[in-house]
Amino acid sequence: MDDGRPVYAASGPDRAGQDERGRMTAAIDVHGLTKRFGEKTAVDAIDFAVQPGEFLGFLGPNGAGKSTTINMLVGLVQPDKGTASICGDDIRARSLASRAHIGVVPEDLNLYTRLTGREFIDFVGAIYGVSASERRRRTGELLDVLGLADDADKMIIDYSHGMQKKTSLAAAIVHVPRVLFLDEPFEGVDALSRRTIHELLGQLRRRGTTIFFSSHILEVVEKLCSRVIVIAEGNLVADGTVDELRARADTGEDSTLEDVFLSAVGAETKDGKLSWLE
Amino acid sequence: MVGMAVVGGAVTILVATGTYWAFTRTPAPWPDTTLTLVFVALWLAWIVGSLGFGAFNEALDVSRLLTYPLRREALVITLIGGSIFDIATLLVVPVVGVVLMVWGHGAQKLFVMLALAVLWAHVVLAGQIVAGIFSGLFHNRRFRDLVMAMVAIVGLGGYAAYVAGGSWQQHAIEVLTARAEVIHHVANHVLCWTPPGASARSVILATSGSSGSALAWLAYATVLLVLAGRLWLALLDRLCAGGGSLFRIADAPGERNAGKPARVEPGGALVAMVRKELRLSVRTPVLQVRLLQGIVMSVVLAFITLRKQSMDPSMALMVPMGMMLLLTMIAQQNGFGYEGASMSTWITSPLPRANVFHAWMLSHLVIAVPYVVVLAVVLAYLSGHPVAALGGAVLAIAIDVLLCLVMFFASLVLPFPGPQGRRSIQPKSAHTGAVLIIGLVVPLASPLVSAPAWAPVFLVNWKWGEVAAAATTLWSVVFAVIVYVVVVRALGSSLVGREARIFSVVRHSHAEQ
Repeated sequence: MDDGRPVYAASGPDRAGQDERGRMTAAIDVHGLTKRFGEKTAVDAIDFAVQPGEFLGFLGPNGAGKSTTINMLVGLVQPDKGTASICGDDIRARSLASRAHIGVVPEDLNLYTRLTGREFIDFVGAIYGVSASERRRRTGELLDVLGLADDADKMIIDYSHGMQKKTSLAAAIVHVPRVLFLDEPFEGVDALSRRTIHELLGQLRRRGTTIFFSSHILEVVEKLCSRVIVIAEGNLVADGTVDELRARADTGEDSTLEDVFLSAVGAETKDGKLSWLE
Repeated sequence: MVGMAVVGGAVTILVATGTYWAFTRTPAPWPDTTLTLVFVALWLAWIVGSLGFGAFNEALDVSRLLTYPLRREALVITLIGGSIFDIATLLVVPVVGVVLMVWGHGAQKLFVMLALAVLWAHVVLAGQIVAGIFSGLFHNRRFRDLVMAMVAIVGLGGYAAYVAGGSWQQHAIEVLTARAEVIHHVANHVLCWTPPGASARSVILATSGSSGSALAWLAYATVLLVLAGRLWLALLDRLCAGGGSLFRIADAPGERNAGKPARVEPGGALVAMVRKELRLSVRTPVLQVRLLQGIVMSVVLAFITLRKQSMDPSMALMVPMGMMLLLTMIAQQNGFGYEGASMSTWITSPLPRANVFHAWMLSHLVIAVPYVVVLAVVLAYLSGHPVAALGGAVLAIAIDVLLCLVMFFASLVLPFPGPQGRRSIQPKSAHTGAVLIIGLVVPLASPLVSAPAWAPVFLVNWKWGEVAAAATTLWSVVFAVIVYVVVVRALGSSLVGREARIFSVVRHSHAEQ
């Protein structure tokens, strides 16, 4: 059981984890993960595994349990039942070791808003064990690439929502995590920055980082993700590549991910007409 | 809102009681002067309050309504109607009741009511005019920070007055008596020309039987009311037409980076945490206020205590300890509450959890040690017992460490949202228990927990004097260090299993933005 003392992360995302028999360890391994809030079961005994280097899209309607699942995996919420591990480290028994592998862009940004962008990224790099000189170099590059250089020394409280998102992303990758959790990372971000972020994520993926990506922008998910998991009302309802899901959903070869998604969650589109607009 | 009503209500009743006493028990012309001063104070309070609370009270921010195609009439009715049922308006009722009770007899009461209605209209209009002129400021982050700091300073003034107690009141009476002539002249010949002063004058004259003069003053007040009303309507027209607020200050652009090389911020995780704590302490208004409150309150309390006690070696040993107790209880309360939702940054990291407490301790000592050193120098000078003062300083640091541990433990087991993480001024009822326990139990438990550190020192002082006592404070330091190492290790272990629950309690925050 973790006692809060120092842990040292395994090195480099480009070396896949292996157990004592040399078998590949899943980057994320979830068994029976459950969370209840009062009477409501937000996540109901879900099982899935994400292999190292995968770019997984995690989709679901509002209130489906996406953010709760991510929050359990990154330590912000305690699961009621079930187990999960990140790169072989159990999120409860070896919680700090599991967190050494991850970077997180949460949906609610929760930044230290009275720090400047530069200070915040440096701070996160430091608590993940990046050396001072390396932090300085990486922070400078991240600010530059993400278009935050001119505002690097302004307090985050004075940033726009999009700037705060980019700052959160920079802080999530400054230590080159093995697993990156992104919860709505493109919300409020302009098209130019979105392109830059795509390239950054591509770079991380080529290095072997596993990306766990949740977004309502299905076009982006379809473009980036090698695999998609769909959750609805706390249960996994679909898991596979977009083509596999398309075939299973029988929505047709030309159907979009949105069509597949709506089919998977069993959503009936309400008639979007208002009588007083007719 | 409940808290505001309780606190504001208590203050208003006190003011009303004091006003009644001034109206009925003081010699002439104090009742007349008091009436004028109360009316003017009410008017000024509304102006200042609208400026200050407009930053936090959406109801005062007219700009929120301007996106809707409201006609001017609808806007006027909305804003005036909102004022009628505002808590601040209701809090004025006791004072108004006292005025009605004391001033005017028989039919004159009707005149007094009319004058009060004109006064109320002036007060509301003044607030609306100020809110309209300065609404551009309400969205300015620096302005909001300044308001928070000013509210805290005013609160400190109230505390200082309360602590000073009878001696302050006596002093105040002496000053008022000495300056009586000036005060009466200003109130009855200068302030009477202000809108609220004119209403007061009409009430005074009506009560004394000079109906004609009373009517003239009321007419004057009414003319001013019409002018104020026209100004307000012109302001509303300007706002509705997209003219914007008259006062707007853009947030400063901040330091531009343009090619300047970034400096290296040395150190690992612990140093980064300490650096973060110190930066937030300096930049976050609620934390600045908390620290300022701790320092000022402890200094005021020490000042009051020392005025009443002779400065012997025991006092030089004890005073720093007492001051640190107060400073730390205020400045270190609810550590996780003040972290708020931002603590998710390190929860999701492999940061050794003991570093959270180490950082709190070290950043606190960065402020506490210089504070105690200055204190020791002052006490050494005042007491003529430098060795005892030095011992007192060392003992204070040792006790401070132990007290911080108590506060850390309290925050770990009984977290509640900090002020920046609450949507109202008061904590929710679910957290009231935590607040009460921390407010009552911690001050009682702290002397007991730290007794092994301070008791030997005072015992030795009693038996062998200040030099031996000062030497014994080294034991206090050793004891504090041992306890610190053991306890922080345990707190760090415990935090891993509790942090998700703590986060869920303290996380509801967007008040900073």
